[in-house]
Amino acid sequence: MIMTWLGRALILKVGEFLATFFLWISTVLSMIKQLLKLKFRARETLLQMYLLGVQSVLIMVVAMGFVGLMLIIELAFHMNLVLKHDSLVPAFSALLMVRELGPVITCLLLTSRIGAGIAAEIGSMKISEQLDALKMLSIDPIDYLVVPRWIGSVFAAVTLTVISLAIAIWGGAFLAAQKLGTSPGEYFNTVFFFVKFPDLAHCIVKSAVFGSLIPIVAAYQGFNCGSDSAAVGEAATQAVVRTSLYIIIADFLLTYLFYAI
Amino acid sequence: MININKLCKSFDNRKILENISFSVVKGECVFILGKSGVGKSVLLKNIVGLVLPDSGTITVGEIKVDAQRPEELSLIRQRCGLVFQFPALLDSVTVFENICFGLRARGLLTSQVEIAARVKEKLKLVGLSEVVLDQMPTELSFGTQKRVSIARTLAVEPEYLLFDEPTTGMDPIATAGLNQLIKNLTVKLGVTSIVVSHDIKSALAVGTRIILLEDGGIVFDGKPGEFKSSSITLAQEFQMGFGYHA
Repeated sequence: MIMTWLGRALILKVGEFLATFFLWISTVLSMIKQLLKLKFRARETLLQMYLLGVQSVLIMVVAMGFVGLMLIIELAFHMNLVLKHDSLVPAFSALLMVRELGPVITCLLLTSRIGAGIAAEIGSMKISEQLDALKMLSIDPIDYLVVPRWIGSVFAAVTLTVISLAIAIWGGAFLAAQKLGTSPGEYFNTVFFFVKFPDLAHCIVKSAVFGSLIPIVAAYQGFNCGSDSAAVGEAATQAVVRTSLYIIIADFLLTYLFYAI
Repeated sequence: MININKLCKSFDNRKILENISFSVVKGECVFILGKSGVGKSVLLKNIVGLVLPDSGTITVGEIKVDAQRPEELSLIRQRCGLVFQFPALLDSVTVFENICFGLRARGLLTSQVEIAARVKEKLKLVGLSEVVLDQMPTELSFGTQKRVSIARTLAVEPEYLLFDEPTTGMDPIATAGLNQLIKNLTVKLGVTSIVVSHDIKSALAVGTRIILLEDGGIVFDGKPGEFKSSSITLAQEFQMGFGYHA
């Protein structure tokens, strides 16, 4: 009995994962098709870039500024405890920020800000038969709804990660000067000595992959939500939960891959 | 011609439609009546491939409804216009954008002047003034939204018109106007219509044929005059419910 239940649950989860994956593939293909046909929804895409990216700048700057400060305090404490000196704090904090925390925290914050919204919007469009209306007008809902959000989200994830890194590292430089007595020149010299171009490339690739996951998972939840208002809320919640989970799994896989090559 | 042959559809092991077969020939205006939940809307959505049958076949003209052939499904949707039970207007764009959406998506008209003229023509047809064109759907009443949604469907001038409870939420004057519109489209332009409704008054006044559904099957299929004199209990109940029984 329990095995049957577990088996069914597993099949459902695997099925959902595969469906999300195929939606991701079909969105990418739709986008390429739109680009090739030059039938690009430029206005809608620019609007999504603004809504998803520009409107998220403030929350990212505040959050990542504090992450940068926290990292300096934590690393300084542990390095002093173990190594008895803190000269490598700027290097490690910047490396950790560029390779891991920058893209991951930025995209998790972005998920909570835009993922639920995308799922709820598409879910309520489904309930009010707007998706069926689009199909009846020969408009592919993926082309119309998902592709502009996908481009907007990838753009937002990459640019916000870069901005967040800059803020976090500047915040770190400020605190390091105050708390550790490291001058900004010394701080940035150490940072640039350790952080190399491949680290930045990893950071950009990671943020682009995470950013591409957010609208896909959210859209999948919206397209497959039930037919009442509670189901829209559930779809929004599931969009955030699942995207966060997929981002963490993708982060592990990408980190593993980057170190392997 | 729309041909439905042995159509069956279930949801969660609950049979909704069972062995439904009928044809609708060009120029007919068929009203499909039945109690709530009997599967009338499901039947309409099957015709345009928004819901897929468990078994049975549907052909629109010479094209078979088949989810495996998206190009053909797209052709069917270009030939059929579906007016939804709820207005289903895209709430992020204006009324004008809503009405010309299909025209632009299908490339039916390219000139802005022609598009604007078509939009105004269809808006007038459903009894709305141009004042609403720049408004957002959420600023309009339900009845007005519904009329905009009919104008949107009419804008692409489909060969077949499918209405899912078109008069729900409309005032008696707008209902009479819509009935007249459906009649005009059928008589003057030869448009084929299938109307899902509870409104027996409209069915008797406008329909050229009535199909009555009960327990997943067809219990009556005939002309409005035959429906009036039918001995079928549900047909009599429908007429009594609306004070139409002789």
